[in-house]
Amino acid sequence: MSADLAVMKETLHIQKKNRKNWKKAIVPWLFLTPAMLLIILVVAGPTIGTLVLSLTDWDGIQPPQFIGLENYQSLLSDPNFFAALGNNFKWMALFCTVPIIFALIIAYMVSKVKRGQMFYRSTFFLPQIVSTVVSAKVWAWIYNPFFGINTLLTKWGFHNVPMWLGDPAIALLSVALVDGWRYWGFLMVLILTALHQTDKSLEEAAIVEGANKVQIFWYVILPQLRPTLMLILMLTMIWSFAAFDYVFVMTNGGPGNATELISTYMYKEALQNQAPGYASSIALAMAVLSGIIIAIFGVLKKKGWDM
Amino acid sequence: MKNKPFEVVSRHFFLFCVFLFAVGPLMLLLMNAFKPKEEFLTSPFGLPSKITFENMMAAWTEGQYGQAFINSLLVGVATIIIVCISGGFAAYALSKYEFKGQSAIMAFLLLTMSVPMGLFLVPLFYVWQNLHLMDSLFGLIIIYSGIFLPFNIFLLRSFFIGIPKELLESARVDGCNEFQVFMKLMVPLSKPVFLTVALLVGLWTWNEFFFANAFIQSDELRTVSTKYLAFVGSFSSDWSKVSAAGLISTLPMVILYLFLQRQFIEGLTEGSIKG
Repeated sequence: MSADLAVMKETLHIQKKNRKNWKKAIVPWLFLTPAMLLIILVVAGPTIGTLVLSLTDWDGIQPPQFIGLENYQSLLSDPNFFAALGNNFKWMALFCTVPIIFALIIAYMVSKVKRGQMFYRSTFFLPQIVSTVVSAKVWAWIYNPFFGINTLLTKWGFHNVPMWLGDPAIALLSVALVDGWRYWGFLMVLILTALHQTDKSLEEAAIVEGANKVQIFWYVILPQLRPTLMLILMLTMIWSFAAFDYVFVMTNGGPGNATELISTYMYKEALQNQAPGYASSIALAMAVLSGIIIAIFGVLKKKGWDM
Repeated sequence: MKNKPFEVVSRHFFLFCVFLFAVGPLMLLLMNAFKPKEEFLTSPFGLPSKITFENMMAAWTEGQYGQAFINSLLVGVATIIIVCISGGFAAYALSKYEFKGQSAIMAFLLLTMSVPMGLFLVPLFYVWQNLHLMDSLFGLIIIYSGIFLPFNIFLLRSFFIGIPKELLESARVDGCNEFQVFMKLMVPLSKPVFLTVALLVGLWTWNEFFFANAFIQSDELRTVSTKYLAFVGSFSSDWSKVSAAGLISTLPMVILYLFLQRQFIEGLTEGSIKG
């Protein structure tokens, strides 16, 4: 009898303990639930939806028709898609060089400034704060052939002033300049922060050894910035595939498709051409490309490229 | 290293040129907003000979910016509250508990943070239509919360990690339950990072136009940035007014930035590094 009671007591105790463990295990999940639900509803769920939709023929009204990989086949023979893809690669090549080098040089100069460093940092970062819609319109006005910068240039005696946004040969460059204007200040701050963390004694040692400024920058400073620069390179490559704002507001892909990017082309197909199924395959192609880039950097990281 | 005066002067001169490049377009916006309309036509790049508030007043009333400001504030504040609460909870779970599936959740957040918006726009559009959330500020608030959460969870988590576990243990010994530990300990200790989150989310919702443009159609529900787009559409020839509208749209955030530069800059840069 008493043995039974002991067993019962024991099981009760274990049950209680289990319940306590179970309770403890569920706490973090309870804390995670609201955020996870929101992210799944807005981002993760619809992303999976895109995956499925890309296998369908859909006009957005009739029920979607499953057509397998047909969208991807038409994608491969769509000159507009390849024009946009080409522009994206041009965009990426530009952004992986010009703003990064510019930001590197300016950050180095700012780091040498004794007084007013904060002033430069804040003002160079300011374009990040301004709404892209507004700055896009200001720049569109600066580029305007009738009352923009060209009126000044002709007054100063320049002829053959460029048609900034009107000339298909340079329109993409003109828009990229504006996005670069916004973007480089962000990079400058990142590099400046890294510069402050570099080992000052190495620099002093190099001076004692008689190294000149260029040598110090190249052999002492730059290697210490490599992790930051690699990170910037990766961020820039991923973002260059998602670039959208300035092209959308300033040229909407034109003239012709001179400034069309994958993102703007996708937007048009989805909401203007009523081809959301096809648009989904475009979006997925874009995601695969950024996935490949992330994977490449992952491999590089594993191979010991300190990032 | 000794600084030679010539070097210092030339460095500042060069940096001043860069300063003009960075701020010049915004100065143009400022000048043209306060320049009389007639003068804009004769000298679009010159300083205004006299300052007029005509453009600003006209843009404010004709653009119905009062309503747009209320909408943007409403969307901003609601999104901030949702992100701070649900993001704070999630970051707390990810920094102060050890549980199975933790690394999977982290990977999930990293993925959802780097998904380009084009990848979920189309299905989201149709989900929102079916949930009758199209053309509603509430729907927009939910979208913003979902999009901004992953980044801000990382930001919060990186701060929470620095709070010693012993502190939480002692609160538990004192009889606080898990929720109370979060509210009474984590939140007060983490005020600076919550401020940063609030600023970043406020900035993004204020300037965001892609989703606001696609998901809101009614004129009276437009937020400031899409109001500006609509304004440009109907007054595209009147650049004085368009400049004034642009200034009205950006001024609140620029003023906030002037006061809280450090929080803005560090939040934006450090967040993207840690993510």
